[in-house]
This record gives sequence, structure tokens and C-alpha cells, in this order.
Amino acid sequence: MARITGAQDLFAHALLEPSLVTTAQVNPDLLKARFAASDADIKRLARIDEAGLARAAHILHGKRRRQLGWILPATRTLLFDDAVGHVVVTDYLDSVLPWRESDEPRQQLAEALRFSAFLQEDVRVSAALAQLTAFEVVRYDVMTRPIITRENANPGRTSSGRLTGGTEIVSFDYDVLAMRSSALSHELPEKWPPAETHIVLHRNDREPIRIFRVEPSVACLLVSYASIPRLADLAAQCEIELVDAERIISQSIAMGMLL
Amino acid sequence: MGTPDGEPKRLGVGLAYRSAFSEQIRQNKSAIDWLEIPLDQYVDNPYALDELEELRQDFVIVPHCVGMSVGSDSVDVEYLSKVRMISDMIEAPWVTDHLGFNHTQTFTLADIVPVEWSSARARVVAENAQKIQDELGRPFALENITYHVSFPSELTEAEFLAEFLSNCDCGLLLDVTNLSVNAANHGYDPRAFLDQIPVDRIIQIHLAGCARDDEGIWHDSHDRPIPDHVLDLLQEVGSPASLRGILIERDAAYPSDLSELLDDMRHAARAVGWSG
Repeated sequence: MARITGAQDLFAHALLEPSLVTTAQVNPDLLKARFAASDADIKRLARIDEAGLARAAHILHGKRRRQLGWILPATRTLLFDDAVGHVVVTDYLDSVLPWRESDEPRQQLAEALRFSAFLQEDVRVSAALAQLTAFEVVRYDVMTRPIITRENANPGRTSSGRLTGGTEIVSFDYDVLAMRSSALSHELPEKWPPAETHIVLHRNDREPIRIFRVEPSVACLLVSYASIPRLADLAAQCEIELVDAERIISQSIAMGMLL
Repeated sequence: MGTPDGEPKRLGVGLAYRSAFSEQIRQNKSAIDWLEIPLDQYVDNPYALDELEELRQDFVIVPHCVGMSVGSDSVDVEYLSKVRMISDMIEAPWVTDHLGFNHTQTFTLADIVPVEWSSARARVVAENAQKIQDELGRPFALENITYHVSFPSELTEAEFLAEFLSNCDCGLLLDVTNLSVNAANHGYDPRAFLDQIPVDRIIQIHLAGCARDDEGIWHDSHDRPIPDHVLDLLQEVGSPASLRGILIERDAAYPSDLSELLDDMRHAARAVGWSG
């Protein structure tokens, strides 16, 4: 049972699951049993304008997609969006991922969620996802969390996150994350991924200000960035051959991993 | 930074700093009175603080946060301490966030959504805001947000604002565009809204472009010049004695130069009688 502790909890949950309003209208007892919410709060939930709620929920989901990425096809995007709240992650796992028993998508999903957790640097989500996916959730401390503000999350605004380091802020699209798991699990040059990679972030005057030693998976991610013209400078600073990046991207496209 | 009585001085008309046009901002610094920064981009990112150090050589900087979640039951003290650290570093005259919540005990939402408009919640928000202001050691103001649905509540938004402000001595960041958008979407008179709130608590104003989608719903799109009807509403607000700064926001469809934004700034100054 989800624990609801007040009116705002219930309201927040309704934004993530608009059908709760209908439930509150036709079967308040069901809702009460599910959430242990108070009668008064359920009655108020039933008074919410359904069309308005649906619109607000749609906008909220849109914002989440923009915040967390278009990295996966529709059903998985939903899941990824809702990785923000682990209760909802569980709900969506059960409801929209009937193929979850299949090992391969499950693994890919876990990979994506690992990145979700990493990107958010949300300990609660990380812990929940670790339990959910039976995968170790890895925190990559080589990168700071993405910059997600209301400003870059609203409709019509940028869909990029940002990789930050020093005074140079490099934008990136979350789309590239999707290719990561496939890139690592299919035929690659023997030397790929390298055991260790260094990434140099630099100021606009090219003076290095921070050197990271990163694990291969992150290197792979950054190689993916190399396909984005704006990130060519960053990729060029990595000890990575860009030809590999092109190959990985081609493979990913062929596999339908790129949207 | 402040006036002899300790109040922040009037800064004029500023611009929301975005790295997308950082160079243009530096090139036009004489035309920009002050900058507002999205503070969360600098939290836990010590390397980005260099940028702030550079900016503050040329501008007064006001931090704008998204993480306080004042509508939640309690304040995130760890986050607050980080905001304090940066605010101190840049000698911020005041700090702002949004009047809403983005997490509860069981959820973290992607965006800031409206609180329940009740007297009880007004007291919670006031208590949180006062605690934040006291901890920051400088004025703290909350911004009215856009919303597309609200939780059925005992108060109207304007009544809630007035009640929250009566329970603390924090300020109001009035987003005139948000007010216009909400009024259009929810069918109320924005001027009547202004009559119901204590305009003498407004310390900052936000202005941005807005647009109506195919379904007739307005959004604070931040992607175009400020429309005339928003400037007309700004004129209604006028220039209360408490007002310290007006801020132009742009977050998409960045113009190749700042002329469009500088025009917005001039129009705003004219609307409140600040133009020379």
C-alpha cells in the first residue's frame, strides 16, 4: 500500500495517476484501502476537474520527458519519466512492462535506470532501483548532476541536460544514453572499451582545469557525445578514437536503439 | 548593497542569466542593471562558481531557486545551507524561489505544482519561508507559479497569497506573465487578483513571453517578446515602494543578439515609470 500522508501527497499522486480521480468518484473505499487516505482528502480529490487534471498530468509528463530524456520508446519513456518517484516506478513496471521477464530488455532497462539514478543523484531512487532491478546502482562521481531547472523543463524549451565542469558547460541530449548498453554488449574492437579513459575539461581558452579518470562505460557515453557537433571539442579531449564512436552509433541505429 | 535602513536598493531592470547568451550579456553589460541566476545550476558544482565570480565583477546577482519546495511540510536544511553559501559568496541582495511544492513524503515531482490553498497550508508555507529567510540572512521572496489544475481548496490563490504573507515578513516575486496565463486559463480577472494581494510586499517582478497552444491553453513559454497585454498588466502593478527589480526571462528561441531582450527591458521600465 502506498502511504499517503496528506492532501498534497494525494494531489501529487493524482498528477501522476489521473485515474485516481475517477476512482475517488466511483469507489472511494478502494482508494482509501489503497492509500490509507482520509475521507476528507478523498472527497476533495473527487472534486478535481478531470479534464484539468488530465491536461496538467500531460504537461507534467511532457516536462519529465524533457527533463529526463527521450531515451527510450514510449512505454519505457513513461517508466523512465517516473523513475523520479520510486512508488510510481513500481506501478509502471507492473503495468506497462509485460516483457520485463525477458532478460535482455530487462537488462537494458536496468542500464537505463542506473543512468537515471545517476543523473538524478537521488539516493532514494537509486536504492529503489537497485532493489527493483537487482543491479548495483553505480554512482559516477566524475560528473556532476545534470542541471534540471524549471526553466529548461517547461514546454517549448530546451530538451538538453548539461554536463558541467569548470567554466565550460557542455549541453548534451539524453537520447544518447540509450545506445550505451547495446554498445557495450556487442561486437566492438578488442581495445574497446579501454580499461581507463581520461577526459579533460577545459576553459574556453583551452587551459585544462580538471582531468577525470573515468570508467569505460562513461567513456562510451562520452564517445556517443562525439556525434553531436557541439560536443566535438569535448570528445576530442578524450583518449578515444572517434571512428569507434561512429561505429557504435551505426550499430545502435541498426539495432533500432536510437529514436 | 543595501539602503541605509537595511533594505536592498532598487536595482532596476535585469535579465535572467543563461549561458546560451552569456557573451551577449557581457557585451551589453552597460544596458543590463542586474542579473538573476538559476541557482540550482551552481549547487554542488564548485567548478561553476568561477563563472559567478566573474559575473559579479560586472553585475549584481540575485539567485533564483527551484529546490526549496516551501509548500512541503519542512525545509530541506542541507539544500538551504548550499543556497546560503552561494548567496553569501555573491553577496546576493535577496533570494527567490517558487510558491509551490515539488516533493512530499512519498513523491518527488518533476515540476513545481501549486499547494493546497488553505489557511493551514498558508501557515506552513509562511513558517518555511520565514525559516529560509532567517537562515539566508537576507530577504526571501516567493514567486506565483503557473498551474493547470489545483487541489480543491478553501481559499482562492489570491487569498492564499495574502494570508501567507500576513504570517511572515518575506516578500513576493510577482510573475506578471504567470498571473496573466493563470487568469486566462482559469477564467478570472487578473486586476481583481492584484486588488486582493498586498502589492506593497512585491520586491521583484518577472516578465516573459507566453503563448496559447492549439487547445487554447496559455503557457509561460519564455520563448518570445513580452506581449502587450502582459505589459498592460505590469502597468497596473506599477511601481510599489517595495519593488526592487524587474527581471526579463528568456529560455528558448534565443535571439542572435540581445536587441529583442533589451527592447523588453525598455518596455518594462516604461510601463512602471522607471525609464529616464
